[in-house]
Amino acid sequence: MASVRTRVTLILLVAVLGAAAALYVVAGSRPFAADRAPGPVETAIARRLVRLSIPRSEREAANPFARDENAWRTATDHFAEHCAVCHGADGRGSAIGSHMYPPVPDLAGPAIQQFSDGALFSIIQNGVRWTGMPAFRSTDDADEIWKLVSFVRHVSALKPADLAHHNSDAGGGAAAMTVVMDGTGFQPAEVSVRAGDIVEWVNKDPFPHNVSADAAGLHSGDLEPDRTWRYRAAARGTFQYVCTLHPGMAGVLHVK
Amino acid sequence: MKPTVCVLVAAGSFALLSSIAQAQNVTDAQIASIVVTANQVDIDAGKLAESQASSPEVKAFGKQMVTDHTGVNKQATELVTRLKVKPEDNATSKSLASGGEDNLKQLKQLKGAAFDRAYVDHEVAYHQQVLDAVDKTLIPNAQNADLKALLVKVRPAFVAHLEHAKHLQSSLTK
Repeated sequence: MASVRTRVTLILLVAVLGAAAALYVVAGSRPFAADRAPGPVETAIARRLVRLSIPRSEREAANPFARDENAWRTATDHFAEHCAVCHGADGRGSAIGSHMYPPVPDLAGPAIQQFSDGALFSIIQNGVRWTGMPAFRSTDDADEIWKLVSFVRHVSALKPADLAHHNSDAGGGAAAMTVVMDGTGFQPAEVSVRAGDIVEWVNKDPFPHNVSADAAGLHSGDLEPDRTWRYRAAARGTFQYVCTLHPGMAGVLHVK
Repeated sequence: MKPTVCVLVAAGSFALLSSIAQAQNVTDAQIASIVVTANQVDIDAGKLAESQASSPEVKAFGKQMVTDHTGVNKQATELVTRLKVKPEDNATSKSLASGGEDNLKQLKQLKGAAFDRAYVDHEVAYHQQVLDAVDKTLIPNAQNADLKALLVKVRPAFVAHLEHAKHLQSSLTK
């Protein structure tokens, strides 16, 4: 007959083995790897904890830009610079974000959209511990964060043109020519480059402009103030382009 | 447009025009107030058009007016803050504000195509008047070089708005 001590040891051993087996089942063979999807129970508990961690007063705060239909636009650049690396330029995810633990959620999905505006604000401001979401409290003021909340609400309605200047396929390299959009004009109004050169347009006006020419396939999308759009001139020819928002604002691009 | 509304809009426009023409010698502080008020009046009308216009083109135009004039006002406000100029109300800015309110009152009573036409008609007249003020009063009287430069910089946008509004006007009357 085994002694009491042996029995206790056996029970402990079984318990430890059981816990290890449970961990293996939950986390797989590499419990600290980042690219394993969390299980449904862990996900549900974590989401609930995130929600419960936000004080009611913050959850119920209203977005001061809720009625401003353009608020999300002004956050597009901000999102592209700080958030897109993990969330994707369109908020639907990126290659890096999908291999994080937990994986970066689709901002258009129900897991995110179920949060109130105030909760989203709090998440952006404070970040979420044990995830890749940093706190933006020290870098972004409240207005910027509220506009990001507006952007998150708009993600499912984003059109390619809204992000056109962030998806420019011109690639790296110095621009051969810079055209400034200033005083509702293109300066210089007529430029000449070689095929393969990069041309960039910079908006120095306090409101949006675009660069559009159907024939040449020039479609910058609306460029907010201080935005730059880069375009690699491929086809040779002479292209007349306009800003579709401001009649009379026109330029010519010669590609030789 | 109903004849009465037409007459009221025209009367308002003339009152505005004469008051701007009278304001010959204005200070930078008064110019600042005129600029901010002129933009705000068009922002308010644009917001109404965004929600109340029936034609998608007119809606889009209203939305663009809100965006463009908000952008101009942001820059103007930054400039006067930097220059430590306190915008000073004056006959022109007050007349712009009350003219804007009257216009909103008229527009709010209209629906559908009638609203579109009245809004666009007013936008044509309004931009023409503001351009006259910019050319005859604001730019010639602006003392500070940066303030003058801002007026010169945004003027072409108002010309583009006027062209845009005229184009809409001709498409609506067809």
